[in-house]
Amino acid sequence: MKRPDHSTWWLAGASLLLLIGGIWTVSTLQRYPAQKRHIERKIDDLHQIAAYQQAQERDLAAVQSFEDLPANRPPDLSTLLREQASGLQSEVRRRETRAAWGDWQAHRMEVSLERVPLDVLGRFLSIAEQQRPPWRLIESNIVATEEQPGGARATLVFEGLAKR
Amino acid sequence: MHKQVDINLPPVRAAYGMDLAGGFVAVVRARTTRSGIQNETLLEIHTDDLKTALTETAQRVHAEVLFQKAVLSAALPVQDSMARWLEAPFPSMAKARKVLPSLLDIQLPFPLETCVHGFPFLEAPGSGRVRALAVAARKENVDARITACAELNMDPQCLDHEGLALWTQSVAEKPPAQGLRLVAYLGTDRTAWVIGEGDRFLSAHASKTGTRQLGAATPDASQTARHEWRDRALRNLRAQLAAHPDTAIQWYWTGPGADDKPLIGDLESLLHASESGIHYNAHKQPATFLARALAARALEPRDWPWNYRFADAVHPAVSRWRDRARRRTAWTVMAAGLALCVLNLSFGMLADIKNRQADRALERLAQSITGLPSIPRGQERIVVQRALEEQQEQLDPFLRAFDPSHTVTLHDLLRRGQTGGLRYESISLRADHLLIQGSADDWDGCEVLANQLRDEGWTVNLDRQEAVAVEHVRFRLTAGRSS
Repeated sequence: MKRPDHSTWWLAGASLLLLIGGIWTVSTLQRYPAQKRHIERKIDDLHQIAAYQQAQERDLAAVQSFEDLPANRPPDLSTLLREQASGLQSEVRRRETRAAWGDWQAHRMEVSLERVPLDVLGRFLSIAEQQRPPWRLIESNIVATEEQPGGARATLVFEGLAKR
Repeated sequence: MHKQVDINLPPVRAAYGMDLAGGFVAVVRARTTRSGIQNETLLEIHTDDLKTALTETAQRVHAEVLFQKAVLSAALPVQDSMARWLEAPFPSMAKARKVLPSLLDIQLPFPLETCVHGFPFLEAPGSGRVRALAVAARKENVDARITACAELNMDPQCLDHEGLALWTQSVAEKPPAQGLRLVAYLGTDRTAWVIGEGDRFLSAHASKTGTRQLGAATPDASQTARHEWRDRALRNLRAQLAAHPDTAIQWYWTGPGADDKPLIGDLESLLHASESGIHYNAHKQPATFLARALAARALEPRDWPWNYRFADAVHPAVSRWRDRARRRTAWTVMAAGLALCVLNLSFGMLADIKNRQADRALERLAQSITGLPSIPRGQERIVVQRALEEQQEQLDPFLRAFDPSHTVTLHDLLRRGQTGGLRYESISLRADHLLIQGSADDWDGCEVLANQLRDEGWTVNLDRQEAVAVEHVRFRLTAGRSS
């Protein structure tokens, strides 16, 4: 039998290499859709998390605006009430305190006012909200009193942020 | 269906054909052009010193062959070779190929092992049989012809079958007509008769009588040679006429002897006396006819191609060309394989890099949001979502501080009540829910407030009761809005 010559060996080796390359290519093409989906899912996650980050930055900007305030707690509501609506029958009590971002705590205070004139009530609400940090009205229940026209019984819930 | 054979020649734009006989040589260079094959006669000479006559031509041929620009083709005379039609009783060519050598062996007067043989034409006519044209020559005759050419410095890359070459060139120059055709090559030291029908080669016959013998010095010797020549020619022709009765015969003269008009006239007279149904013709430039045929067949090996130089007899230049072609193929295949491997490797690496980049970016981003030192791969989005949900509770009080103020809403409600003639009995405002109870001066009084709230984005539900005992319309307004 004739022995294969040098060029035959070369051709056989080259054909083997081509075969390997071909099989590799087929395998790559078969895996490509799954790989593409995998990377696309990651990029999608990346975009979503980047959107979360932007939202978080906006939220933290709100915190920063509190950090930038000269005071780190709102004035005492009882004192404010005495200053703005003295002589009224009122009660101030703490409803709850919850931890907020960083060193901050969110305090909820309930203020009950009996027979309060509406103009006094309005002024008190405005002044409470103008404090820095402010007392934000989050709930209010106002019932007109029949015996005093223009007056009402008010139950107000304020929320204020203060540092520990 | 018929099968083409490979005659083991490189593809070239030019080919040399050499007709070599005792005391005569003709060399033609053929080249392919847009208008077909163009021939150039380089040499056509009657001389006893062939080597000297061929010196210049040999150098030119050698240079072109060396640079693989041309090939040289010579012929093995019909008298040194044979051609037979064989039939194998198989419909498959592959099976037929296996038995054809045995069928040929039976017909050979010498052992097949001492021959160079092959099948330049195979066809499956559809009758469950394969027909093949077999050609064979003794190795010693092939070697002797190659040696004879090489001694003249004209070592041919192709050693063709003279009969097939004469036939294809005759058909190419004079298109086939009905009936039998006989191509008579009259050489200096030999005669070849090739018989065919239509464009199909049938048989080839030879005689060692050429113009030298036919034109011998003494009239007796000449006449004897001419009669013997006539008898031999008619014997070959009649064998074919037996198989094709009542067929017209076209006789074509060619070869260097065809230019000898008196001789040709005498031979035609001799033939006519015995066989009157022959029409005589001649090919143009008969002296270079065989050389033209050989060059054309080497250039475009289409019909009945053949080359006795294969296997051990292959020309070194052809071997080198084959090796180079095979190496070139190997390199091309290897380059393609390597390119594919590199492409795949690059693609894999690129995908891996992209994957890692995405992983790193995800991890960094997730860590910056959550503050966690490490996050399980693939869980970044869920971990971030959970962390943000937890953070949201702590951030909500800050965000509420920037929500629309309830105080402003209350102020607006009170002002609208005063201007709209509404008397509120109670106002309950909580998050995004509003409940107002009260009374209005007329039926539409509270509708104004409801419409204003709707304009501000509240979803309002208004219940009114027609006053009976009093003059006012009592109403209950509930409103809500999505945060």
